[in-house]
Amino acid sequence: MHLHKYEKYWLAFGVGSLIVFLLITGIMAFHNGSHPPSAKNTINYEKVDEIAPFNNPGVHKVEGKDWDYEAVVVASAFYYDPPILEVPVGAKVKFIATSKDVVHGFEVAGTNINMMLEPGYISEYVTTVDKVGEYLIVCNEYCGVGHAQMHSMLKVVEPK
Amino acid sequence: MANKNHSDGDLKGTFYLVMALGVFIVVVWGLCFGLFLDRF
Amino acid sequence: MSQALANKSKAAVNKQNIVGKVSNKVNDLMQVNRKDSKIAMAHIYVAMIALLLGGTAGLLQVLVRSGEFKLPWGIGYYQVLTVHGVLLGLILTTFFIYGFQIAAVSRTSGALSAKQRLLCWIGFWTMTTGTAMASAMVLLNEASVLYTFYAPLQAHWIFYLGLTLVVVGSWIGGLGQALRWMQWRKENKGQTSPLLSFMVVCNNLMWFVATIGVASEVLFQLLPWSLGLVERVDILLSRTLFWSFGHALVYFWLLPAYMIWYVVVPKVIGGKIFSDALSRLSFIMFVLFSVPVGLHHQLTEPGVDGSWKFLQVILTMMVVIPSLLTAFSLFATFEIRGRALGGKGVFGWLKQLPWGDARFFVPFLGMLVFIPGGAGGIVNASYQMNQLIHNTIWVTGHFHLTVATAVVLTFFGACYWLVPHLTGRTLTKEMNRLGIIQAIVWVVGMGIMSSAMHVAGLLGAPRRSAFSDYGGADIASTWVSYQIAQAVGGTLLFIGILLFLYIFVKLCWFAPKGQEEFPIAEVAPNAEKTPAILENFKLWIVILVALVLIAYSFPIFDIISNAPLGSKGYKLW
Ligand code: HEM
Ligand SMILES: [Cu+2]
Ligand SMILES: [Cu+2]
Repeated sequence: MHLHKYEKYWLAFGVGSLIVFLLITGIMAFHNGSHPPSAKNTINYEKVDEIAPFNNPGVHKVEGKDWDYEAVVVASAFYYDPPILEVPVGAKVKFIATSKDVVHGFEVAGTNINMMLEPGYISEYVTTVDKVGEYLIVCNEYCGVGHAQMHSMLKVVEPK
Repeated sequence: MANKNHSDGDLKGTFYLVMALGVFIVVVWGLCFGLFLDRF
Repeated sequence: MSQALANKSKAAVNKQNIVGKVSNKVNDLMQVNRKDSKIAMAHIYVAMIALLLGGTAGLLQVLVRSGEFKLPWGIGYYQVLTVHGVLLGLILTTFFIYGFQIAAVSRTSGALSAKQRLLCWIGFWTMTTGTAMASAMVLLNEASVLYTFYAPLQAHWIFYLGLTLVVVGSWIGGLGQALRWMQWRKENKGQTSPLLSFMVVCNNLMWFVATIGVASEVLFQLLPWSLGLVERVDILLSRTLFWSFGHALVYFWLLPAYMIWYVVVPKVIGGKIFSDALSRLSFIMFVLFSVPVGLHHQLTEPGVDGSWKFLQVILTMMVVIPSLLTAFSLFATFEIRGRALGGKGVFGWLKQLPWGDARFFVPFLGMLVFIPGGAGGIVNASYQMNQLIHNTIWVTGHFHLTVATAVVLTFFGACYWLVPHLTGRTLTKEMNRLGIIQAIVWVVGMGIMSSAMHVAGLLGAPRRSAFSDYGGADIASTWVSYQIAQAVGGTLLFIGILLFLYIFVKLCWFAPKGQEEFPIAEVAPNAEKTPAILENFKLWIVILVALVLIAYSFPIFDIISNAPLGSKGYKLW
């Protein structure tokens, strides 16, 4: 098929840009480990309260792992347990969350922490919280009448 | 398949417009990428 | 040099003959058959009722979300939002598209046979019955599950059955349209088929393959579960099946707009189709790459491996390419025409275009709005960058640019010739002017609403959420001013809907009787013959199936083999 000269330039530019986007995101993902939340562990959603780590929601300091803290969150209609997460600035934190009933969201507004919580699956995301502040956590997947009232707070504080 | 009775020069305007469009896409993407990198 | 020129002109003469033959055929069929007009209009009426009711729901949403207004009589926000999503996202689009496509096939391939027409009617009534069933359940508050009906929220089984009927009806009606094209091919062996009919067949083929996923979800999971025949469903599987359909759904909306841009708009401005072959090529690419990309809606979900998500992100970027081709072809069509009319300089041709003609101006605004829509879409699909915007109101802003403006304005613009063509009336000067005003109102309203949504989304405001102050959180208070802006833009949009419906009613029943043209552009006289391979659907179906298998079989196998205990149903509204 014959293409106009300018059309070739345009396609080269357009397709080239797409390739660059893919290379950047691909290198970030497969070289720097920056994948979106894609954990594959499963759980019996009816017994979440009895199963570790969800039998003890909250922020826990851990040793000997790639991260310093684990923030364990249980979502159910229409709240998060615990209602406040507090972590020191600069800490590497693994967020671990699941749902006890329907699908919920876990979005820390103003950050890249944004994952779906689905019954039966454990969602995880590791990041270094490098800015002090109070970050609102909202449910961003429709879960029922109380959906817009479902929220909690992530406090990133100066170490004491 | 171009119009062969038109020389390539005839599509200059088209070329500039699509390239502007392309630059717009790249800029939007770049700004969002910057925001992504800035946030934790 | 002279040798080459001679060859070229010889080739040109040959092509001229072929194209000449085809275009004569096109001109023989200027008018959509009366009986086919009736079916097309039946679809369009349903679409317009959906537009009125869904638009009213949209107005209520923006008012509620501004924080200044409460719904009366115990109506729930999410019930209203379900009405909006189902009626506008699913019903308005599907019915309008089928109305347009039936007319398009009848116009370019010839009147439907009795059997084909019957299929289209059966499809219409099946879809309409399904719509009524689903709507009834939503109104009774038995199905406030939004138009994506994610399990384990469980709607009444009649809601799921209604949606099934809509899909099954669309298969029947789509088959009726495709059969007409096949008949044309049989009667005109060896010739390139009418471009518009070919595009319709592409869209229906893509739709058919895509709906297999959602039909399986509803038939094998949600219906038995809501009927109590099975206790639990696999949530991740249901979502994955849904989204294997969901992205093709948005291209099913978009392709008819592309048909109008490629085939109708060039004729309206007095120009030619830039390239028949490239138009077909881009449609084939849409067919191939619209289905195996659904995981880009599930990028932040657990249970699916990152590598499989990334593979589908790559395929998603492939589906951008035909849109790049389209952008060039459309601008080139305009430039060639503008220059033929005497436009000088690099951009002088722009002045020559018929800006006062609603049939050009309105879809043109749609094309322009598709540019920011597409740019946002590339951001959404960029793998980990999806975390920036996933399920924020940015996404709502995005698809109000793409579907609710680029596509919808193109459909509005099409109505200005299609409706009078089908009803035997004409577009008056006054209605033409109103159409232009309507489009400006729409673009201004959407500009305000959608920009506010994009910004608020980047600030973290979630989508699908009634008004909330989130316990007085600082960040949530910054969202409110954007929500007020959305209410202003949304109110303008609602006015735009009323204005459009006024024009529509005029064109149906009150405009002067006469003949309005169904514009179909011809291919540029010296264009190359279209390679026959582009019409070889057997080949494309094989490649499509292979791509779907590559993209989906392992993730689905993985989901099934690692499945946790399934979920019981919840009714939390
Ligand atoms: C009067 C014009 C309109 C207004 C004011 C409006 C407003 C809105 C708002 C505020 C939302 C998001 C609500 C939320 O997330 O809580 C929304 C969602 C949506 N709109 Fe519109 N819209 C309009 C027209 C349209 C049109 C013409 C279409 C489609 C062709 C459309 C399709 C949708 C869809 C599919 C959703 C998603 C529903 C969901 O998330 O479940 N809208 N609309
Ligand atoms: Cu929620
Ligand atoms: Cu998509």
